[in-house]
Amino acid sequence: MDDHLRDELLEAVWACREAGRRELSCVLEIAHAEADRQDVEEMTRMELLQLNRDEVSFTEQGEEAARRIIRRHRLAERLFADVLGMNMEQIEEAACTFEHAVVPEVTEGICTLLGHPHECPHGRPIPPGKCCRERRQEVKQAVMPLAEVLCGGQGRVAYVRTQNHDRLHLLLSMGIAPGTHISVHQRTPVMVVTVEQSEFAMDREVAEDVYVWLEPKA
Amino acid sequence: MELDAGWLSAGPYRLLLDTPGFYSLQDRSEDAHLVRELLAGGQVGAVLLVLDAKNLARGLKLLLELSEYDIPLTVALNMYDEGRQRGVEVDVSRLSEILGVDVVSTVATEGRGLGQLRRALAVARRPQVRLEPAETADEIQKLEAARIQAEQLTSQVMSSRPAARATWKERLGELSRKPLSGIPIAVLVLFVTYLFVGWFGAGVLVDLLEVKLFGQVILPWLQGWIDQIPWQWVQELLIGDFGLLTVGLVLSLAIVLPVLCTFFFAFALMEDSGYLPRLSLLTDRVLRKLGLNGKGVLPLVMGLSCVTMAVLSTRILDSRKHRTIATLLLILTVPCAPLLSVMLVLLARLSFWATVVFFGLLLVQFFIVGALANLLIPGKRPDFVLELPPMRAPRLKSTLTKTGHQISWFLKEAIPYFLLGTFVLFLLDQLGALDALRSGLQPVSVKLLGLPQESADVFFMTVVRREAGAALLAQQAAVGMYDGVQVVVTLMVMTLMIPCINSVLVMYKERGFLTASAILVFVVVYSLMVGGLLRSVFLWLGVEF
Repeated sequence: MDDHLRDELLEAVWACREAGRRELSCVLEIAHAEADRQDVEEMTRMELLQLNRDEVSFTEQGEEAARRIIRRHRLAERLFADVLGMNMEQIEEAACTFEHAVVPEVTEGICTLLGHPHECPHGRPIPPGKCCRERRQEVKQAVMPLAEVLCGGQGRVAYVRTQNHDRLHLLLSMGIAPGTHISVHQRTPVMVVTVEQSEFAMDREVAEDVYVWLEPKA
Repeated sequence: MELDAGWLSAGPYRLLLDTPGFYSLQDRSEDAHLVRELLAGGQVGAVLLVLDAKNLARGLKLLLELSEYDIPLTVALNMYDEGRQRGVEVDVSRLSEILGVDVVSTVATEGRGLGQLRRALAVARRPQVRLEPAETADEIQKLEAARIQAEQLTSQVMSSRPAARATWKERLGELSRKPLSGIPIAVLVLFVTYLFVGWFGAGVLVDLLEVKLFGQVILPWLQGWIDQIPWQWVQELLIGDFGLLTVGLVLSLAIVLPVLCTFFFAFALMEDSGYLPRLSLLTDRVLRKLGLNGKGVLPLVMGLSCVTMAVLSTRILDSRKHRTIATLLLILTVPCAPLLSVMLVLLARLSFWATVVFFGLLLVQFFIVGALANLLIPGKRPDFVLELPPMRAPRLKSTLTKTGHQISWFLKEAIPYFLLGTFVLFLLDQLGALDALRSGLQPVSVKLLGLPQESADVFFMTVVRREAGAALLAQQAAVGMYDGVQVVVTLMVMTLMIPCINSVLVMYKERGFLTASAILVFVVVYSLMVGGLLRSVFLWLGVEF
């Protein structure tokens, strides 16, 4: 049995459970991959699922594995919807690919980046991860508007908001674009920042539109 | 828009045009638009692309955009010393190889690399790199694609190591942009500038030129020649009350020129040292209330020297709204250096409170009029984003050269206006219209402002050149025609009233007929109303100065 099929089945069992159902038929129907009773039986031998006549449930190990997959999937949905502005159909497809490809550190990074969201765009709960439990008290997020970065803070531009076309144009042409290194030296009366090797002064309003992925101080 | 131009000898190329600086050919600024038209016009033989060595990626993006025009190029990698100091090392020969054009590292302020640059420009070649064709019509995505391509190029030739320790210049730059240290520094800089321009330029030099050189040497000598001319009206035209020589030339060469020389020099020092952008950012928040942004401080400071020049310099502002508000504030509320110097002498004869009340009221009006103009004049405030160049010690030679360029530009641009203004007054005077105007002014001066009849002369001179009006006022006040309140009221009206004919002419040229006429009417009505109001309030309060 391949990993993909295994993950899909774990996801399906989780989704059925959320809907309050435990029948094997529900699981097989929801799963995004071709699966039959034999596959589920194989997973019971792997000690991921338990099959009691027609009712499917998790083992402890299986539930943990499913929780991680669901978490990755729904975080991915949030990322695609909020940051990349994709529509619902594109999101579903992309998230299905994404959930299999992400390592745990990246999952935590995305979760922190998004500010530890509680629900996916469809409104279903996102199981909390280690980062959520540890940083629940912490207000700081990994990405914030440049205007809110404190003096001495530095990082890389994550994205520039696109509402104001003229402003975006100006910023991009000056070299303020995703990936460029930026640090804040002064916040009043206007922001003073260094972008790569140049110093710029800018209105707070302009800095509101530049989102920065903070880096720890050197 | 006019471009600076100069002659050179580099291979087949003879005429060098200096375009305004910009970051991207796709910029939406007027500057970038102008350059696009120039490049597309087919007249350009080669482009000398001057890039900032420490921001290579940004420069190469521009080069990629430029490559679309298929024009031969030479690249000057300027400020090379500053790049190295910050730990940026560029492999110039490798870059040249990749681009297929000559790349010369230069330090323009010190003249380093310029000879080599001239030779390289003579053999400018079409670049072999091209902007990768974009799959999208979206401008932003195109810009982004160009940036990524430029960054890939940069990574092949640039290496960076940790920057050297902060120099004293960097620390000075930092001190002058932080509010706590920056505001005292700004006050100091402005005070020293004022001493240099207002006291040395408008006082010492003007005295030397106007009184000593023109008054005692040149004019008496000319007088001798002109007395030989048989026609009375020609004599009047040259050396009469509104003579082209006695008024037009003396005003422009002996009074305005020394003030401008000192001001341009001080301004060039501030520019070359990299101080001005820091002053801009400190004043941004205050000027925003007036609908301007930090860049607005430049023309306003210049207005303290010469309002006419300052109105011309509003070209550096980003929007029509900015230029209109700055022009209005300049014409209405900013006293120029020659007026200030006469004004200070007059106020010094009154009580100390006269000076405080006068400048306090002027400042209040500056803010009220600015804030109202911001509300009433349509248009949005453009973003304030300004690159802060590194602070550097100015080179006397290049500062003097720059001052010289501006002076010669002033001579060409403004002296005809001085002569024209004087000539119009001469005609009015000859036709008897001047006397009619004088008596016409009396109801306003006597009834509304409560001033002696003779003040009409002062106002009329004010319209010609306001420091000439102030000088006349000083003469009249010296013989006891005015009391303290009358002096303050007259000075206020004089300051608020249009500065001089030249400033009005330049305003019409820069702002167009409608805007300029609106400002003109407003300024005249406003200054008389404030004068009348001020007089009534002073009388009511029983103030004496």
